[in-house]
Amino acid sequence: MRVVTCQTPLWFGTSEIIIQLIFTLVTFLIAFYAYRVYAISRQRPSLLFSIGFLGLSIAYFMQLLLNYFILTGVRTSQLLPNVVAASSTTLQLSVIAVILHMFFKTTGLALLAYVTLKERNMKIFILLVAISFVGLVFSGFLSLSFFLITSIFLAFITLQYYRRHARKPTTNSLLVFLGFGLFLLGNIQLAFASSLSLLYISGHFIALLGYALLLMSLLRVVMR
Amino acid sequence: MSKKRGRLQIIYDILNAIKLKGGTIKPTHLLYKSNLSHQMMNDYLKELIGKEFVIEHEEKKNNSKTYSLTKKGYDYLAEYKTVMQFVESFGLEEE
Repeated sequence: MRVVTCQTPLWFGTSEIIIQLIFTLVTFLIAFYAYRVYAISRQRPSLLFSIGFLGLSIAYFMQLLLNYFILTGVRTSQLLPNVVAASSTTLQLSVIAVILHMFFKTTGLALLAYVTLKERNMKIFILLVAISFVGLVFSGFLSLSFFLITSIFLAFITLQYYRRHARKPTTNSLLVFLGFGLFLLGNIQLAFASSLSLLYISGHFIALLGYALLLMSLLRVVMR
Repeated sequence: MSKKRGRLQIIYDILNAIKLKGGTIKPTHLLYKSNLSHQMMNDYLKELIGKEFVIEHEEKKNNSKTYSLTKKGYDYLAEYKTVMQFVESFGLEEE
């Protein structure tokens, strides 16, 4: 199994942590509000939507921790070159954070795809997750496979929201469709970031814009 | 012809009909106010009792039933618009 890494400028390290903190908070906010809607309406799709976004929130939090470990490690190695920056504990924690990030993001997006496709049979969701994990575990390129599998889920979700918007256009349905569309575009860029580090940076900013639109849609509901 | 009501709208109409009757209603009144078939109304009532939005009271003396709103039912009515907007925005309607 190969994990492809990409070289990103050090200045982006801090920005990336801030962006991931925003991702964590926005996804948690949507999860929280979807759960609140479930608590009032007792509708199953709202509960599953909430769990899906909670999965994404945990995934981004894991990535945030991972980048914090890396950033502090890099800075330590610059200041103290004789000290081995990445201790074995830090390395182990980083590997655990990567695995947890992939697990929660894949599961979260699989659940969101399952909800938006209006499936009722839970076995379909289990099938989606099982196939995704088999694809990840036996892939020769873990990072590329991870982003491509999650992009497939995002493509289905975006298409569903496009159809919804085309059927019944409202400002909120447009914001949600564009939000997931940008999230997809950012994710595809991240898939190919190992060959061009600029894609790693633009992928994050595009996804940030996508989450800003999802947040705007949520705020339009809450603030009314 | 009026637009077909969604599930959330039907639930709102049932709960609102009970509220407008002072929080307790007889099944015949509810059938008339909710504009549903007898079978559909029973299905919805079963669901609303399961979700703890409504309580069923049985009077053995008259062999009659009444339905009352619970706190969860009142909460649903109060938050209905926000719930609807959220559900519509993110496409979470139950089919």
